[in-house]
Amino acid sequence: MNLNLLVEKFFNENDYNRIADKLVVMRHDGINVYSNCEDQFEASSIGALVAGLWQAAESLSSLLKKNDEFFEFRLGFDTSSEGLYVLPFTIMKSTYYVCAIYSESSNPAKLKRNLRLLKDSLEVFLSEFSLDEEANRKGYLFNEISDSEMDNLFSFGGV
Amino acid sequence: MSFVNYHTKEINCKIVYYGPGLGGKTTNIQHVYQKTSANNKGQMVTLNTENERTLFFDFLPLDLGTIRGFKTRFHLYTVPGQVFYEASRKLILRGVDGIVFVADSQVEKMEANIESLEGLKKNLVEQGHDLNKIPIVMQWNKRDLPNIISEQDLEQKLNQLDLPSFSASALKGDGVFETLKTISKLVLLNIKGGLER
Repeated sequence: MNLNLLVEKFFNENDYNRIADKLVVMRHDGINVYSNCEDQFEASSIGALVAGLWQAAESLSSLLKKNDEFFEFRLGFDTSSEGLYVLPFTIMKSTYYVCAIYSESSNPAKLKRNLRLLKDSLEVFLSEFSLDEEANRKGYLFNEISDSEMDNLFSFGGV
Repeated sequence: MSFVNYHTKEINCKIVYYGPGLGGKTTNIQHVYQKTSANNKGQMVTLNTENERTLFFDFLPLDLGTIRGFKTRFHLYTVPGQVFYEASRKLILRGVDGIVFVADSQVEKMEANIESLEGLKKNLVEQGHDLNKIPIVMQWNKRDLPNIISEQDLEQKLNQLDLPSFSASALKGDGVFETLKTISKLVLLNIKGGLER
């Protein structure tokens, strides 16, 4: 099954989109799997920034004494009513993040709890499927690309 | 790592502009941003210091259009060039699909170019990349300035792998799109996962 489709299905079947103003699910390298943002370029920027933010925080965390491997890290940047909250989860040994960006929240603690529930539900939901579509594909997507095809791709710009 | 969504027919790729400090990495993607229509691009994200040096990275999402039915989205990143941001450079290289090495053509910057290129090779190997397989394009930037080293010398000292190279003046826009076009093609050709299963 296709991961993007599954995550979209999950959000459509549940009412999680109302948890926060913006919700983005992304891969560890910042490429989005799902977002409820109307502007997909904005969603891309959120993906890039959150992945960078997490990686930087993760590098810093190597300075910590990790006494208990049981606990998962989460990342927050907030005031008493607005902010962002990021949680990691794993699918097929790959790390993904779910990020909520919220404002004017009267109960951020509840929002964060709901995001943790969302993350847990999503993990369980996805664990029931086999995400092996890409792994079974062989060879290269394009064996050759002509100059005119590249010219066409760059027709908007300076070349 | 590139990401192909076969259902929605979308390709996502990550290109990183790497090179010594003040070499013109940010200027490259600023030019791309300026010359691209609003429909094809998102906001350029810049994480700068107070004096406008790159602190963490610049980021520009770019929709290039469709190739054989696949929509292409390129994620352009720059790394901070200053030597002490090595940890940040390593992070930004994670999941990279292609690299533009922006070298500064000025004579006095040769040592910095070499140091940065050696750092790039080391970081790529550390992350499990094969230098002979990952797409890399060299850009000899600032060709409009006086006191520059010859292209032959740049090739000899920095391009021992015989990678594609372009002379450029990113400030004027010369060579910027030629470089991007070439690395984009190499990255697209390098995407694994054919249509047949």
